Amino acid sequence: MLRFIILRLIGMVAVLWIVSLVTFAIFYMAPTLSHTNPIYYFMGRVPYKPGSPQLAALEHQYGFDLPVYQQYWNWLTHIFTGTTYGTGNGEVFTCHAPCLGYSFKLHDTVTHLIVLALPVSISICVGAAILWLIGGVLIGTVSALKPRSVADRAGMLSSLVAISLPIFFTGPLLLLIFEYKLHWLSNPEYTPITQDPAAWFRSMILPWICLAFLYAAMYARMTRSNMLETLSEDYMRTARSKGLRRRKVVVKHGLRAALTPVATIFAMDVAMLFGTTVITEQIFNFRGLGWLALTGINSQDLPVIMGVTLVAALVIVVCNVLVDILYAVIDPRVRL
Amino acid sequence: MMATKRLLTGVIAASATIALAACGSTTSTSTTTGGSTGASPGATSGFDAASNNIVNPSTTQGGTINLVSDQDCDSWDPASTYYGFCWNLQRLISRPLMAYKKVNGNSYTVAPDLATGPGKHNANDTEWTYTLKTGVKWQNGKPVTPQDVKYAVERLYTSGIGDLGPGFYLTNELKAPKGYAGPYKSGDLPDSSISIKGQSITFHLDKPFGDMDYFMALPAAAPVPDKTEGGPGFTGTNYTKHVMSDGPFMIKSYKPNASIDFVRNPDWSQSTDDIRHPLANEIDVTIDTNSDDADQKLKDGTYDASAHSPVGTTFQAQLLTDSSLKENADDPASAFEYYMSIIPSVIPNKYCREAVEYATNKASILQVLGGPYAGEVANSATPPGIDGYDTSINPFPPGSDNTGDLNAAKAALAKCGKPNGFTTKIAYRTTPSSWKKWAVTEQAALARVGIKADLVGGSADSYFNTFIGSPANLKNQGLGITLNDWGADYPKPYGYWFFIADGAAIRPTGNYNTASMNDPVVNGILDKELAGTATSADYTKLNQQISGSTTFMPVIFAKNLYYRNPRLTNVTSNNAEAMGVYDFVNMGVSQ
Repeated sequence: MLRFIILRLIGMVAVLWIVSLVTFAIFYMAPTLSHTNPIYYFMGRVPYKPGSPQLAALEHQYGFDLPVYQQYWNWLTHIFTGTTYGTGNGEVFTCHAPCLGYSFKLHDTVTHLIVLALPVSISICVGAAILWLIGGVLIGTVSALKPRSVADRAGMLSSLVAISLPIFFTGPLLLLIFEYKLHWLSNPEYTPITQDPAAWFRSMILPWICLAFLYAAMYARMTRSNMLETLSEDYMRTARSKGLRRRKVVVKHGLRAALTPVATIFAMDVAMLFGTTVITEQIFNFRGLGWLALTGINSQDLPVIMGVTLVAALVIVVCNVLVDILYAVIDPRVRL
Repeated sequence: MMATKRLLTGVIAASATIALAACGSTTSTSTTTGGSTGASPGATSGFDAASNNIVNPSTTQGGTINLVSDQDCDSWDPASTYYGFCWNLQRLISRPLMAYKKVNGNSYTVAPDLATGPGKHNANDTEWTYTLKTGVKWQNGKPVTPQDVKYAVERLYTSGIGDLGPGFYLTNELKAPKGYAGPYKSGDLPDSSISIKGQSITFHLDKPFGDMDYFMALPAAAPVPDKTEGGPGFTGTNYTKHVMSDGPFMIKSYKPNASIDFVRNPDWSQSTDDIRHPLANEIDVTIDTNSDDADQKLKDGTYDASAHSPVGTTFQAQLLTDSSLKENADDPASAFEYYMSIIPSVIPNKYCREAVEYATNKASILQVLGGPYAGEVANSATPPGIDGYDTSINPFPPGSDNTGDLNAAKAALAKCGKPNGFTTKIAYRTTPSSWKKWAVTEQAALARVGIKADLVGGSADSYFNTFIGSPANLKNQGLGITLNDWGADYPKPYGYWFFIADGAAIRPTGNYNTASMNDPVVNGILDKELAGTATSADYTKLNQQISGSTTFMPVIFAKNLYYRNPRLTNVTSNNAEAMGVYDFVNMGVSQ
């Protein structure tokens, strides 16, 4: 098991390294492909005239005159050692490790910007994930236990509808009903859970429902399908014939087996959601990682884009490794 | 250029008419007549009443005003901000030497704010002296000094600070050492540039700058605490995160791109301020990027007013059909103009350019740009709010219904030697999408007289810089007609026209004088303004000259539709600085 974990961790580092290479390559190529001075993407503007000694000094300061492999190495090592950024006007900004760069447009280190955005994304993702997991598994299980019943057909029909409705439809719909018409919520803005748990909950409930509505539908269908398959297995019939109670058979044997693949998908869905809640954040006016990424893209703020990409990749890779390990625990054949 | 950013905000400029005294530099106040916004004279309620008047006049203190904006300010540093709506919010916290006392309607008043009076200048307008009031304090209780004003001007030379705002108007003129790069790199400016004596500060200029009082009314000229700025960690480009206030409000909390809340500044004293008469205890601005959500909450009263964008199309439709909503809306005229440049290097024959002017269907363009509540057809170049505005100037009348005069266009084509028309290209910006509709409308209008125009789109980030902003690119690509928009940096002819019509503003890239206009008459009148010798007749001549140039075709003078919560008091539009957004500093709420 230890060997398995070590191999997975090595794999994780390798994937992250490849992601960092690709990310840097894009950063390096963007100025070349667009015939733009790299300072533009780095600082958000070119503060001096092209060809001027001031601009050349700035390019030298940031190492854009170095070979590409050296630029990459500097960028990579700065993540772990930290660095400083001068503007050429006498100002110097310190970026402590872990240093993912400095956004001259947002006047902050990328690490700090991500630290500010991460709790918002975590709040959205984790709360929604809990809702959709419980809801989806419950609906899927009920449907599987009573196939072709009214409950089954109602559950599957509603899940089909839910899958078909995009977030940019359900989000405004929820706002229309609960904020604009019923006034159950009044312009809730994101409040950290540490500051006011009730306000945090009020701000999160609609995004959670919105996302859970979509994902729960998929999980319901997945759970139903897996459960039906599992319930038809011989060992289930054996368990029943041994006199075990139906509830125990379903929960302990059926659900456990049926949920193993669901657990795998669940971890990956949650991980991927961190960087892709941009539509939800836009609708509910939150400032999470998705919004940060979009802001970086819109303003061509490459340090922000690179930082968010790396962190999103890190979350996905870590979750992937955790799932692998969990899977290995559940099913020892994986370790073979 | 500062104006670029003002364009990119998407806010349409409100119009203003400024009159200049015969020697504009000798007085700090100005009045003009101009286009009417349509509000009833003296009305204190009803549709469009706030454009010209004060709606719900009140002296009731207290309460919180809840504003919404679709974006954060480009900067809260007064030196760096270039958005009109941010200049409006700067009135809460920043007090320049001069400021706009009357901001609505078509005539504005620039009056002393931090200064005791307008600038006193020498005979050739190259030395300007202001005396600061005593008793004005920062929010930390320290006095505002002339050294703070000098430091603010020094910061304008700093790359990444002053070059993001309109500071160039002053830095281009000030007698500063060559290569001076701001206080962080080059230290203090010498006394030969800015000298201080007691409470007085004198600016020494290389060239006359008759609009000095107007520059001093820009946030860029507002003082910044000398050397200390916003405190440790909040200096230089980081000052935007902790701006010190000497105005009636100060920043209580600021979450970038999310919200900013202002509360009353206990160190501000009404006795030092003739411009501001604040009522509210607090002004909160929520940044809501979901425009439909923002409009819905404007409608239901969650938000009191927009700090930036006009109402969206859905809410606009509701407003205009529901009288109870419409009576709380305003549609101020805007010192913002949509126009087309006809490029002489691509279409050299002036009669061919005249044919384009005659054939243009301005009525249809107005429809694609938002209809009658988004503007009015323009046939003369100078917009309302800028001295020289005169609708009787109409050298190429596009027919009584503004759909074009096809007979005149054909006659012009015949004079041009191309009676069957010619081929050219129309350059348009790909965002907002209405610009393509504008280009398509123009294409269809020109086709009526045989002028075949292909459409060429340019992305917003390069449009004014290297696409139509490069005279060489215009010629190389054969872009004969370009779509443009423009708002005044400050409501004076020089503040409006210099970058788009003065020969001295032509540059290889980032050129806003798209048609490379270099008319000695135009250049001369703008020079006279700086020398303080221009007259109203000169400004009328300026309008005639540009309108008849055949290279600058006015199309639409813009207007913006805004909604105000009925509970708001002392509501009026800031047309002078903020393109029609309400003036929040003197606004209150009914209790």
